[in-house]
Amino acid sequence: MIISGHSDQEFLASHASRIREFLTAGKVIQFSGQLFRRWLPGGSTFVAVDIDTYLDYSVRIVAAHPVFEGVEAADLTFRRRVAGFFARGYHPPPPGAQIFMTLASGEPIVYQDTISTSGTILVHAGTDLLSYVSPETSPGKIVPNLLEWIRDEHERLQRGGDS
Amino acid sequence: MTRRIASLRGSAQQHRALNEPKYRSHITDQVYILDLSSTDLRQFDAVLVPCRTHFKKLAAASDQFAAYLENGGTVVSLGEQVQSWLPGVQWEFRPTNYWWWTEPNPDSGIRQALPDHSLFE
Repeated sequence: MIISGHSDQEFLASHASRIREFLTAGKVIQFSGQLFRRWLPGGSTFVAVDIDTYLDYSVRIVAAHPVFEGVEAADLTFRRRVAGFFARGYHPPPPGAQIFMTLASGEPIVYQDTISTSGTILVHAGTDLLSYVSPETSPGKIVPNLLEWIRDEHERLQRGGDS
Repeated sequence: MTRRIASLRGSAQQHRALNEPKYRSHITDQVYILDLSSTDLRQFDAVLVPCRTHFKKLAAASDQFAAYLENGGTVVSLGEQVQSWLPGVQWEFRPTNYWWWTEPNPDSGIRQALPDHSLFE
């Protein structure tokens, strides 16, 4: 299940137990956006980062994730030479979460959580990953990568979670 | 006289902006978009409609807004109106250009139609 950052979180919060049940059944959730209600297991309230210069928006890839295979960090930082689209803050990650991307000062903007539930949660603290559809730049690889990773991850979970 | 100002609220960005202290102190009440139809807007002097508010919910409330305005209310509407919901307001599409200021002789194309408006004081 891919959940947009424009989703109504009051509504999601009223269905928090169904979302947890979904994950407990060995399913996958990818959320992009800024959490402000408690509905995502392991999720915490979004923290905006204080920005002094556009360089503070610089995206760093700190570990390889299949969703970002072939994607250049600089192409995430800048869109038409303008920075700040990918992420402007972060969610303090839950214990045991793996961090894949940070902002310039180390704030974790993309994490994966396989601890809070028996499913897998991939959280990006910014623009919907599904919006990266431009084929001219390397982030255009995100959407096909994401769909393939969700299928693979779901299959892995349904097999019992072994890699 | 202190005005009673309500803002509609639905998205995470709206929640964050409206709860920043510098704005929060000016907003009497935040109306969750799904509570709009059951809210009597006449209790407010002005209603702020932030951008990215669900346009189908606004369209569904067009009669409610028309009645509120008819009664002397003030509506401040931000963002596009791809579906008309406010009396007398029509939306014309313009292509997005957020990088205009990186180009030679930058010009956003935006002009002050009414420079004397108190908004620009």
